[in-house]
Amino acid sequence: MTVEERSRAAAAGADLERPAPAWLVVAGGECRDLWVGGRGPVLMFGYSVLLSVVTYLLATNKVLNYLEQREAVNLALQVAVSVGVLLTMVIGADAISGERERGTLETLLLTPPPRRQIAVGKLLAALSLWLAAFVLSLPYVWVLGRGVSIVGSAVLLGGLVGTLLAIGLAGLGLVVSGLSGSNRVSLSVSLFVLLALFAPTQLPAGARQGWLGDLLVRLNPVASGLQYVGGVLVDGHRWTRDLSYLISPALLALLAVIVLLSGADRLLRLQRGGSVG
Amino acid sequence: MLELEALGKRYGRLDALRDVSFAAYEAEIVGLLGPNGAGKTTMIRLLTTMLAPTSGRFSVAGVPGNRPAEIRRRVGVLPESAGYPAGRTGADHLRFHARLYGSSRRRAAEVADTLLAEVGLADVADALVSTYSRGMRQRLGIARALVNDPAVVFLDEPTLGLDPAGHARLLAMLRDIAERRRATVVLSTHALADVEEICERVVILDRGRVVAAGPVAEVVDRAVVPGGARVTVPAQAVPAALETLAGVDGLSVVASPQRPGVLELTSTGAAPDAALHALVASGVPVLGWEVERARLGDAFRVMTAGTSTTADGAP
Amino acid sequence: MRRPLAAAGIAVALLAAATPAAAGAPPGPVTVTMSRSAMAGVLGNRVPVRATVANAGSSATGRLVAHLDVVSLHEDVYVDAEDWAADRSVYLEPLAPGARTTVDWTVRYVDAGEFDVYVVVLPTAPSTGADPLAISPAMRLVVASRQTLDPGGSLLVVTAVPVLVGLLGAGSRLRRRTRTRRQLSSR
Repeated sequence: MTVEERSRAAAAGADLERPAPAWLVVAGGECRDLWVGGRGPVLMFGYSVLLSVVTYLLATNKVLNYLEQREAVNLALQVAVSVGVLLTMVIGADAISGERERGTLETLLLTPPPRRQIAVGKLLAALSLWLAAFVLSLPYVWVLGRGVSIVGSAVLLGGLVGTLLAIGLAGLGLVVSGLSGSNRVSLSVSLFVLLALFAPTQLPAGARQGWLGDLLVRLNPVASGLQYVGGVLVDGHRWTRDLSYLISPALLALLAVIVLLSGADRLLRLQRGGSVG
Repeated sequence: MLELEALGKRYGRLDALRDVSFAAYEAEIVGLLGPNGAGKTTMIRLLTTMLAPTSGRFSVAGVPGNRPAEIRRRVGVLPESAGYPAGRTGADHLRFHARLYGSSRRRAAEVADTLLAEVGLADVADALVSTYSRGMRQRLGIARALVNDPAVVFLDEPTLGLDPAGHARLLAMLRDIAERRRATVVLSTHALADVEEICERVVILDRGRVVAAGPVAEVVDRAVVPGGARVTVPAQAVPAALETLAGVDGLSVVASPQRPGVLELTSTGAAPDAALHALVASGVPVLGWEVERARLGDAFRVMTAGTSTTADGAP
Repeated sequence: MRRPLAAAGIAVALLAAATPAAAGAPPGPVTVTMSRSAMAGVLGNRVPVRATVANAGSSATGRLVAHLDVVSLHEDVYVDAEDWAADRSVYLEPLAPGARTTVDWTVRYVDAGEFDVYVVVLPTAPSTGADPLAISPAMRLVVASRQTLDPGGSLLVVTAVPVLVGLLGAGSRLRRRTRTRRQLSSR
């Protein structure tokens, strides 16, 4: 476009700036709703208080003080990843069913962008919570891990495993949200799924031995991911040795994204099942 | 601008909408009436691509119904129970939607500012929507419906819960949308007075079917609606008047016991005038004559009572 | 499963040591020795512990189980052996005459103080008295305590982060509310 053409277009009020893709606009809008006057800051405040308590206990309490420093970092990282992805899933579980109940979904669906792009935008907005949680956990990991040269590894491990889990669980939350008849059902189902995924991580080490125990751990994306982190951080395994533990978190992430995108038309409806009032 | 041909929506064995056909044109305001459950919201959701029809065809602004994304670009909608994210300002909300319609950030800001001024919310643009009154939210909803400069605007119960001033202001806005923007406005409402005031055409739905469609006056006339009149004759002329009026078809006469000489007439559309002609022709002095024309509400009640008939007696 | 076995192991060992018959009986064919007689470390460390089980007899043994135990030498220090080592019982294949095998554990120093670590080897089949259990000499452990972290350093982080997050969130909310109030009051 020449200078003259640009001037004429500007004078005519034409929009010369390239518009952003719809998924980015949706993600931006949802992030704004979440972080500016929304639940994001409150959730992160609670999350930071929790991490502070855990870190302080690890650093000062005689009972917990027996832990080797690597184990302290591992414990703090596990709390950070677990709670971070929990919050991400909860946001995902509210993203569609919550909007339906609040009456804001209809005006969003009345816009031209394909449902798939709206779904991507919502997924990214939910993942912003994990990103914030991960960034917030960095000073805690640093203060616990300084002096034993594991801060870098811990950050990378937490980022890798946490991100895979966050994508998978946020996607799962969105799918549940789209299929649920009410927000209460969506949140209940999502929390139940999360509890079921976390339960095996609380079993004593002996219960996880043997081929069956190992299989159950590997099938569970959360247990498997945290096992991988512990293996590298605490037991000093090489990163490539236990890579097979990352299969289920990666598969969950992939599957959740595929189901979300391919089912976006069905998930993003005014009423579950498409009925009308 | 809007054409429906035998449009239908079926849920299992229930016909929410059946065989609906009508057309609406540029710069026209069409009223959509019907009792609860008549199918008004279903029809709007079909035309705005929120639902897919199970039969029939439609086109909006020249775009056939099988191109939903394109239709969504050309319509603006104010749903009945539209919600607003509590943490957003009015300006944020409009900018967000403008960008979803393809505007750049800067253009979206300009559109938002313009529309907020148009609907009288410029001075609260940066206030949280959660602090807006009902009327302010409805105006914001209309602004949102106009963000893409639509060819057809659908409004579902926009005046619900508004005070009289807000109500009047909203109706004025709708007139302005049709006149200045040349958009077709489809107003779904229970407020018959609103339809009579601003709509050129009306569509009446009952149990999923169109029972009447056309210009408001025509729809009223088409329905066999009892009209009324009051004639005043000298007290001594009452018997002669009664005898004359007995010969007029479709007329029932009641003499007022409290007011001698006053006769209350109830009839179908044309008959009150015929009664006056008959009295004059027979030489009965007429001291006073007041006619109560049939209103849209009367036509609506008749048509949706399940026993509606047209002037020629056909169902 | 392991706790009753451990308790039984200690009880049998003590009983075997206490009874005159056991005290005067000839040693069994199976012997177990620790690779070290003493170790020292710091609280929280993880160390490998190795025992060697040998069959000094003239006939093969049956299946055996080697069980590791940790005992505190001070009664005010409680020891839960499960915290010190996982998989304390290791099952061994029968040993041929003259054969030996090693068994490894990873022991974590869970408490500070003085401890004895020993290994008991028992036959898995019911004992006929011909294969008495074998007990290793105790390995003395001395564990020093340490403060893992500098609490002063963590105090800054654990207070500053929530305060900052809280201030950011509250500030944002306050700003929006103030702007809203200003706009509404100017109407």
